[in-house]
Amino acid sequence: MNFSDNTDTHVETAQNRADASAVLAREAGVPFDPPVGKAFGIDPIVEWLSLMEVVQMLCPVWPVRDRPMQGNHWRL
Amino acid sequence: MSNLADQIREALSMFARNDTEPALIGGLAVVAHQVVRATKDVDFLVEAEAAQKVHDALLGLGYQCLYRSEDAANYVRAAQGLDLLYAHRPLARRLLAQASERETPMGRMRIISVEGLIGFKLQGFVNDATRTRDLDDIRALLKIHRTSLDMDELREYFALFNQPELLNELLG
Repeated sequence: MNFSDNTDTHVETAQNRADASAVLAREAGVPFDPPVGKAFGIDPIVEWLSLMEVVQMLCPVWPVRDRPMQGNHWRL
Repeated sequence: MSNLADQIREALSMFARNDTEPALIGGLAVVAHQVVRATKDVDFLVEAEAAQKVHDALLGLGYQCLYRSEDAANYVRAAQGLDLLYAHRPLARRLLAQASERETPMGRMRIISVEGLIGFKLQGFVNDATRTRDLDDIRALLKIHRTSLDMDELREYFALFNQPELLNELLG
């Protein structure tokens, strides 16, 4: 896992927090809307992999599907 | 790399060996479209003609088929799941053809458009109203991509499932 400490990023993040509405668990419940996307140089899939490393440590056995897909409305 | 990433990489290799180019849909596609949340849902949209060879290949990789119809299939292998939707109607075929390619840490993969993803999420919710996660995903995707979405295409999907008012509701 990559633990970086970019002070400039943290200052910018703190400024964004006042307007943020999303809550990311790994941010310890502090409202933080991560600026994801090419423009910010953050790949959401890389972020997800990093998140899932932690999730899998905390919850090694994730429930798998135990019933088939439901429904009769297949229109796409 | 995590087990999950290995599972996806293995699935992508299997698809390549079988000359089929699926598109990522479901929770992981939601992530790819910038809504980062915990998910282990590995869902692909596959051309219907490839259903049998992909089925055989997945069994060969040790998956067990929980369910299979002309529209969808569910596979499990120990704690891993993999779901397939089959593109055999014109809309799904179009969405599969238009999926965009992206380089990821698991390899090159095709990802369905945001509009198409919302359409499939809506279909999932209409099929099983207990899947409120689908509505949360749609809401989050609408929030992030609102200014760039093709609203006519979205209205088409919501009308298809007789839910035109739901779109306005989700848009707030």
